[in-house]
Amino acid sequence: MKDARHLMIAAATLALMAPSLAGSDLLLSSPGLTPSKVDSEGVVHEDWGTVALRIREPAGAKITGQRYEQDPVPTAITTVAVGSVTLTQTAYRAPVWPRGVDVLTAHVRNTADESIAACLDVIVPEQMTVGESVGMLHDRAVLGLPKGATPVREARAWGCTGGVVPMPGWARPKGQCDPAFRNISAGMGGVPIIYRFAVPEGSKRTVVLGFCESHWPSAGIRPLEIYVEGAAKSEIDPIAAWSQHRPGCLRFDAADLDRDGRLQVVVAPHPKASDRNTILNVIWVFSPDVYVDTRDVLHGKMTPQAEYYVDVGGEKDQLLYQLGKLTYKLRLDASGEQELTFFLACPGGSAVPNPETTTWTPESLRRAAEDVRAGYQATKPE
Amino acid sequence: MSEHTHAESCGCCSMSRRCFLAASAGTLAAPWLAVASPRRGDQEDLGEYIDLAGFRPKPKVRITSVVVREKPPYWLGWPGTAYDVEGHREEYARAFSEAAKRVGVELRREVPPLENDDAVGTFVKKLNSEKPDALLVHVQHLYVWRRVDTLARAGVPTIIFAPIGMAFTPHVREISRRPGVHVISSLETGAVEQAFRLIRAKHQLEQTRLLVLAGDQRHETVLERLGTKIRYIPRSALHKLFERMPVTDEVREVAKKMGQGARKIVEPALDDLLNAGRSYITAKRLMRDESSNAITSDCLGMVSAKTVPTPPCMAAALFQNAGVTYGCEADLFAAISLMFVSYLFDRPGFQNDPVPETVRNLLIAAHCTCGTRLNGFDQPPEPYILRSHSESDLGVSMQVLWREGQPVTLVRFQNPNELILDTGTVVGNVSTPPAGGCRTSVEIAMDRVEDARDVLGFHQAVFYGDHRRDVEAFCQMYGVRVINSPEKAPRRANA
Repeated sequence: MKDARHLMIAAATLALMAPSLAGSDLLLSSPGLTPSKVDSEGVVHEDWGTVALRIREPAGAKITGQRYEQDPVPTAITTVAVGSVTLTQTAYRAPVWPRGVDVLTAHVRNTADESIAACLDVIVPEQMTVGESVGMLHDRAVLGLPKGATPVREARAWGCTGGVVPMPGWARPKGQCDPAFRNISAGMGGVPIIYRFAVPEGSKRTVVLGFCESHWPSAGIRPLEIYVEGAAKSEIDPIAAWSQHRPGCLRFDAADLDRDGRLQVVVAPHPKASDRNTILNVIWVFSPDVYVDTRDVLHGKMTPQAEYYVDVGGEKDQLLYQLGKLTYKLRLDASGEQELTFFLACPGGSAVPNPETTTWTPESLRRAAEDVRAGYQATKPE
Repeated sequence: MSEHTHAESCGCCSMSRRCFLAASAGTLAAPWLAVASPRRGDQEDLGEYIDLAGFRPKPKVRITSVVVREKPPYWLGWPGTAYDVEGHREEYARAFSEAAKRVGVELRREVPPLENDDAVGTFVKKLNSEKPDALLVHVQHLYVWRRVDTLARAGVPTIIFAPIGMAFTPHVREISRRPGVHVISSLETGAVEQAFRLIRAKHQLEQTRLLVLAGDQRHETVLERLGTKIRYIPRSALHKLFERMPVTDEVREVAKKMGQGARKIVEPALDDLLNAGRSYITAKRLMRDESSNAITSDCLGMVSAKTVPTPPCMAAALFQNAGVTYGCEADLFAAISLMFVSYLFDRPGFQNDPVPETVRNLLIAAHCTCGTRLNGFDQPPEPYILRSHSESDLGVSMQVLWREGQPVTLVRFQNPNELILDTGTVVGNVSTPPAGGCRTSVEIAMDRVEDARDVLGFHQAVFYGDHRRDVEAFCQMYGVRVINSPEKAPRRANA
């Protein structure tokens, strides 16, 4: 009886949100939550866009089947095959607080007696900015990437690795200063703000970071930890150092220590911070032969001399990675297999948990879904 | 309405305590029925007795205990040749066993003691296959900490008990701060009992379904890390059921007991007490129907909308005293914080609004419901006065008188991964009037917080005892980040 009611609610909701629903669409839901759907091509439809998994290599993959398992939780299973490679795509709703998350798993298997290379494309909305662990759309974290697997993507000369929210005009800097102090990016919930800059391998640079805290009046609430590659890890509490609305600059002697041709700048929450939302206003990167006076930098006088100048959260800020699909290059051993689990934000405005920091695992998510559904089925109808 | 002391019949108000008690003897049933206006057809079914204590989760928790030591007899090296190795092993084993019984966990003793690396390796394999909920390591020699480290890295939550004489500070400095580990370097076996409670509490949180009565939708989700299930149902479910709930013998009994137990009854009339009793059995019934273990409701919303004649304050106090969480205002993480206190310390917490007292630099914790068994569920209660819910002047609310000089702890989950933790000492109780606000109103001098205005959080759960280290131990074991209120007040920065 409960199930019937839930299905009716689900159907009614979908009728409102997706008028183009075809008869073969499969619903992902959990009691009381607005459902998503999987179409006959295996594409997952959310209220923010679609996600599709496609085997690009070997070429010629075709859908070989699709089924819907009602128990123990409604699960859409789509199978794709090409040669000895099969992709089994499962999708279900995990009812994680507060509004649930859709769990999309790609299980890629090689049935041959020899190893094979495969490419799995993840096709996401064009406007999505995908960082290293989370994809953002309109400031909402809507895609969580598999932990421990790195997609292949084209990188720009500089940019943020993602997962943060640009907040132009957030700061109200007092006194004369570079205009970029007005804007910030924020790493909500403790997400570190990470930028990378292309430099000659192993080279040195002078990095200046600009901060202006315009929310908290008191010290000790949002201290930050800073790691600039090549410099010692340091801490800054902008209120203690400069007070509210007062811009300030920190200078670092940076170096490409790992010789990867990239200089990394990280602003992370301090372990004692009660507000874990990280902030950063401006980054300047100077050649080591430029004499850097931080007072001039703060006033914007040295901006023309900077090799890189980032108005963090401003109009010209950018993501390190180009927009577009993600590709996972997989090397499958003989009779080998690999599994990638993606989190998708589901209808209702929720964001995905950050795969790098969440304690949710594929196992605990599945258990949560089963527990909640079993609990609902066991409850007496009203 | 003026305040009255009802130790004696005063004859000047609608109901004296003596009158109430006499009335409760049986002559007043009919008028209460009129007040309660239940739907007759459902009376028998709705009057069914439901055991409140049955809602508290009783998970099966398996803990394995093992002794790690050098092969005796000992010659030099702490604890020393004079130490009665076998005698103390048995003595502590008995203490652990008794503690496990009190806490309600299953303790399986691994014999014989692990006295070499091979034995530790074999035991780790066994541990991985059996996967107990926790491991208790009893250290019996100073030289075995490397083996203890191996055990602590086996992936099972580990409690390490090292009686004095088994460790120097360098031995425990790192391992005692490691996630998933709790080190007790002490002769206090009570700390082992608390550690068992810590493990049990986590499992109780996982087995809890918290019913949230708010809004108009039904749905259920699960909290990260804690594993608690959160079931939302429409707020209207509570008042609709309340309307149908009859005045049963249990309702009368509850009203009678609460009246008898009060030091004074100030505003509430008989009708209020019976309605409070109905509210109590309504909540139990809802929880049973929804397979839940704890509850919080949008009580203020219901009072504002005048859908119920009494807020659930008295019912909430009864729940709290029985170890079953009843939170206020559908504040999810306030309820989780109350639950945390209840499961980890076997005593109720007090969800409160934090009020500044700037003349004496105190925090006043104020709300209209509070459990009375602040010393523990099985300990004598604190005195209380029955009052109306202050903001609405409706129903029955609790003014619990906290013991002055009593150390207290304040906790508040901000989300499943972060908890605010502070401590202080009770220095007084505030009366309403002259104050406004809530009925239970406790003055707290804060520790380690220079200015009481800087205490973090809202709806913190305050409870008896300085349990800072016990809370930290839980958080370290299960990866919850601890936040403390700022120790120093903000200084005016130079312009």
